[in-house]
Amino acid sequence: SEFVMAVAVALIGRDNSRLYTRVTEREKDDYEVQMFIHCTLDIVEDKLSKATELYLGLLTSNHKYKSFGFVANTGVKLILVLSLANTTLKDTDMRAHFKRFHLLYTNCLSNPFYELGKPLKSRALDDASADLFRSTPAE
Amino acid sequence: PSFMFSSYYYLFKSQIFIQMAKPGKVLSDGKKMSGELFSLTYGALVADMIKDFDDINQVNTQLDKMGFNMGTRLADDFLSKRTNVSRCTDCKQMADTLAKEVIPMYLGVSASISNWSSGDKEFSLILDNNPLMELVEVPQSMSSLNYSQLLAGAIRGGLEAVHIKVFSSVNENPSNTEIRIRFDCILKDALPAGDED
Repeated sequence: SEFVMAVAVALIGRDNSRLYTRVTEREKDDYEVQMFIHCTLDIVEDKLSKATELYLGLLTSNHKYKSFGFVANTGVKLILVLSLANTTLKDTDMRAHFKRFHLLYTNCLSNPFYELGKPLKSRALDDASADLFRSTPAE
Repeated sequence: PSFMFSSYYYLFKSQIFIQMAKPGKVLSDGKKMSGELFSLTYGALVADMIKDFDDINQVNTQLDKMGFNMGTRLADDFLSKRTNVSRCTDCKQMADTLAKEVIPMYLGVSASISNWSSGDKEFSLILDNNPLMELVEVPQSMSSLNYSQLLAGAIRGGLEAVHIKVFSSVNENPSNTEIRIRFDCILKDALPAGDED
């Protein structure tokens, strides 16, 4: 199947606390990506008021990246950052990826050792992120 | 903690008809409970105990005691429902009954037997789909925690109620839960197994 080759994935709490952020190793400029995620969050606030469904679609883009968003009913936001050159992904694919991450997030909540509001630590999330960043078949 | 155990015992007993959030058979009694509720309840119990006790080993001991107290009661429950189970004459029979009858009845999953040692007096019960460990990730800082020790204690308690003394402990492996059981002796004085405090 297609490789997403995403640049970054982020889960942000209702209060805008960073619950989980992963940036691909291919991206040398971590700072730029983080700033982009920051800008994206501003756009999310905007889009939320007009949103009719949980999937928010394309949020914003600059000369290097574009971002997509998803908001859960509890206010938790999922952001996916892709390279601007990435044109193979369809809307249905994006929805599927967000659904998967949403499920992984709720699985994390079910871990009795997870404290709500704290940063998420999950092997399943790490594996799924690695999956999204991959550009070659897994070893 | 004693009130905790008794309320948990009744929760555990109702798991006889555990349904793991999958569509499936309705058992004759019709009683069901969500498998997730069961896992989450146990998880909350363990997390709470960790907060109460300073030492992880104390948590392991406490879980074992709770399991033991539950197990002594579950023995009668099990035997009333499985009247065709005959008295075990050796460890292999005991292991078989545990793996093929007891674990499926109370946890809704199957178990396998392996790693016999000490002259066929010690073995492992392997649970590939331990419902207690569903979605649980024990942090590295608590690696000495035997998360499912309640199960080991319950098996020890249940066997003691039928006058078989064993030692039991749990190993959480990445892909399964292993309950290690070692036969000690037959308890000759037929005093009923009492509660461990």
